Amino acid sequence: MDKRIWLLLLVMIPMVSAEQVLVVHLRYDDGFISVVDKTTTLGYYPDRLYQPDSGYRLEIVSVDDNNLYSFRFNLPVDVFYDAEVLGVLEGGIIRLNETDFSLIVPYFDDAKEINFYNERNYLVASANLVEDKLSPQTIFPTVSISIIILLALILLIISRRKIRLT
Amino acid sequence: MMKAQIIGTPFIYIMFTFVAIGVIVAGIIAVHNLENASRATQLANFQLSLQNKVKSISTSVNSVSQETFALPPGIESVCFIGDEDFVPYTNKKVTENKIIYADKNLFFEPVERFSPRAVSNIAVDQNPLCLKVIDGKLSIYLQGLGNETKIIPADNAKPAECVSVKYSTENAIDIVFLGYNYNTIPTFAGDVSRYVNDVFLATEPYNSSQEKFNFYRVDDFSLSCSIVPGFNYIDCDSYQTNLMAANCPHDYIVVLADRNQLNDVLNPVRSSQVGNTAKVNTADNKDVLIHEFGHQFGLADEYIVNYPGFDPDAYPNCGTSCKWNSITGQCYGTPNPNDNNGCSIDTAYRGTATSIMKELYIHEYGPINEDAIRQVLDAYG
Repeated sequence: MDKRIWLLLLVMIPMVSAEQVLVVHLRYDDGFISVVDKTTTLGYYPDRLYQPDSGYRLEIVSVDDNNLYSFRFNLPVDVFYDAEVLGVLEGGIIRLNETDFSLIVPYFDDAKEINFYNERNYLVASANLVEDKLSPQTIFPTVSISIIILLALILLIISRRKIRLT
Repeated sequence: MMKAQIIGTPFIYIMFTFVAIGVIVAGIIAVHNLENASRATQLANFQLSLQNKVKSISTSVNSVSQETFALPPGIESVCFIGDEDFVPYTNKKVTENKIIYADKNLFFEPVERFSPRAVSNIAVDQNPLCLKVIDGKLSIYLQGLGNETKIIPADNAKPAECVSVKYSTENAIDIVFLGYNYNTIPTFAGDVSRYVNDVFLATEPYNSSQEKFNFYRVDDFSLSCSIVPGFNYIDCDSYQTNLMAANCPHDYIVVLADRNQLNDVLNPVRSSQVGNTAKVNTADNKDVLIHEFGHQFGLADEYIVNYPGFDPDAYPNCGTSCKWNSITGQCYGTPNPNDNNGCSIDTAYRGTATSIMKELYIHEYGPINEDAIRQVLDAYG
């Protein structure tokens, strides 16, 4: 079969691999958390099949206020550092007062906001997700890809008609 | 000099020369055997990963997945042989080998260097289907057909960023390797293969639970890392690390920082672990990966760090009391003055005399740490 036709078919067949994910960049500063940035990309998020019994909690809420996704995590403020020097293992622990860290979560079309709760279940940070969906950076790639696929299909149909005529 | 000594001296030189040549030849043979063993392991990993992926995708009828697999160095192409309508290939050697190895359907070129293998339930349109391996990677599409999976060339597709090093099942623990300070993909690929096969999977409880792990790597060396002054440990930009790791399925991230031994002697750098990310100095003892993964799975250091505010009861391998009766019934640390210190702090107990969380030359976690790690592994498929 013509390779070009194969490629077109492959584009249309559902791809079972990476999906859209949201990478959230956070800052921890002496007990306070803030959302620095967020990026939507094609990729994978951790399964999180094993979670701590207690800790901070992330929650993604839908436009109709349903819980779409949540998980518990420990703040990554304890750094273990180790090295073997002259056959002896040495190192230590650093408890960071401030640090940047990131979390990868699934992307939902109908997500409204992402919330962060501390160990006492107090809301400590929140980020709006609705405005990102309407941003040019989100709409433009989707529309562009759709137009390209449509044009490719039209060209294919035209070329096959020309072959029949000849 | 006496006459006997004069006669004997050339004989000694000749003997020394033969011994030296023998040692050099033995060394070359040993290195060659090690390389062959490593290639065989990597090829076995490819076969297993491909078989597991074929099995997993076959049930999603008509769905297509692009996969990139790691292959050992030296393989130029991979040939898939379908069950039906085999046409003698233009490459005489593959066709001849198919006659000899009738039960195999996966051939590697050059055929004289790599033994053929078998993968079940695959289909190909062009039979045989031979695909080039580029930079030690094979990129293909897999299409589920219900009872089998079709292998489709991905010649015109951009190679996937994520390279599968060893794949078991969809619900396994996903570990992705990222590289820092590397110059070439083969060097990084070789290091990843060694850490996975010769270090991680050679250690219990991982060795007996190999089916609970998937390993991947991302061949992108643009990660930004630095050495934290004062503490001399490796730190990498978390946002960039996670963006890069997102290319692959991942529950844990390992950043391999390529450093040479001489540089590390002059300026030692410590490996580190925070959150779900370990950063490993490749110039350090390779078992430091096992130690850092102990931290990933919730274990504390068992050597003394005397960190203010450390809570030993928050860790399964340290405690203010002996809490391991059900596992070992033993306890080490204070107030027994004969034991070599406590557990992270000198006023805490630990459950075993030593382990890899205390000393790297102990190449095992011990029963208490293994028990704690198994509780994490049990959550996965």
